Amino acid sequence: MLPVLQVGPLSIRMPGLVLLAALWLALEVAARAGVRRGLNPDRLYNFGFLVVVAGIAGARLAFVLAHLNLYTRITPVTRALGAALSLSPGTEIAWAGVLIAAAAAVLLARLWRLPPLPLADAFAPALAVLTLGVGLAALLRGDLLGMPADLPWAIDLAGARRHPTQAYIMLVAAAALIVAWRLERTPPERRAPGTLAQIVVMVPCVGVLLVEPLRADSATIGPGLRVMAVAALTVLVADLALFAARAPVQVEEDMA
Amino acid sequence: MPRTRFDWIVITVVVALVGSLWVGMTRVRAGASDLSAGAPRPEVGHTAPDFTLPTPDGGEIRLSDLRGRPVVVNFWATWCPPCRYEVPALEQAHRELGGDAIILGVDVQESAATVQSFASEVGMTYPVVLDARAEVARAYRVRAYPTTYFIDSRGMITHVVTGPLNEPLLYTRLAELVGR
Repeated sequence: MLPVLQVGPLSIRMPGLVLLAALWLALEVAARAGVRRGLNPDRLYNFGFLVVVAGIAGARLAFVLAHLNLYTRITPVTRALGAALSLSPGTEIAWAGVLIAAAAAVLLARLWRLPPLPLADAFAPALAVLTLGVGLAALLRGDLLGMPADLPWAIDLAGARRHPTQAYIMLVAAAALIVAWRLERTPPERRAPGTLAQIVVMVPCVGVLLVEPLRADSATIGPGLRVMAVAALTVLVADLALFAARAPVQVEEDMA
Repeated sequence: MPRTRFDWIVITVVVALVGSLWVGMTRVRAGASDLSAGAPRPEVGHTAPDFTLPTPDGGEIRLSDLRGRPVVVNFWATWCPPCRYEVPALEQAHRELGGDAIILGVDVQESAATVQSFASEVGMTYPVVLDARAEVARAYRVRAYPTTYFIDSRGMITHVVTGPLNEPLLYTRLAELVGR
């Protein structure tokens, strides 16, 4: 764990730095993948950046609205605004950020007339890169605490030897990257636009379903259901349903 | 490789059923959290390391004596602008919480006179102790100022915030500790 790196008088928050680097790398990867699909790389870069900014701003805005009473009591108003706009983490509602980022992606794609399926294909490997960064940032912060485990690769965290769930997430992201890379190498005529994104998205979904039960600090919903596992299963089933919707009712040789 | 729509529908339904079963089987059982107070270490999930430090007026405060109530331990110094920024929020929390939780400032490597002068200047009334040789700050592995430890009534660290605390973050964390 290395949450803060002290360089002389300068305190560098390592998880934030890692996330910024991962975001930059992910946008680079998306821009390059976009070029192969005839998309403007600069536009893709801006698209990705604005979607992330919308997500972060949305998550904070949702927190501010949900806790408006905490902000309205702060005086003077400039101090309240400072608290609302502060870069310090801890006052966000993640699911609201994801929803707002998704809405921003749909809106921008329409506004800039970006074809949705090639766009999704271009961003699929970028999502894997970003997940890799999230895993590393969590390791540096000591987040995503694993269950106690007596394994040779267990790490010492919060008073016990635990599953390195952060490293598992990074492995899942690496697997998604490898799948994306292999699919990128198949000739475009052998796969329909959007297929790469659909397949790549499955990997982290399955990964989260397997890793989430090994976490000691999962957020839960209802009768103790793990929020991330429910979200991963929902995305996985929606992804498969999309495959079903796009598949032909009968294949040609059957009809013959 | 599934080819027809029917194949995919079958797969989707099977994955939905098996997945739901898996999510249900791996749910978090009530009271199953393993975050029980471990050996004293300045990390989330551990008992906060104990310390006894003098107050500027000649008394002393021992952290373990405060057990039974949540404690917010704030490492700070008067020369640090972000530390000064968060003092009004800590002061307001101290006044509003009454005895439900304790805000404890740990001033690092400054004299009693400097701290007392600053406290009277900004109207700071929550308890402050003096870590003159930064021994406690070192024991808590404080790497930057301010750093704040949220400790529950059992003496276990629940959150660590490095950098300035703003009011909403402070009150959200306090609400979790105090349970209101």
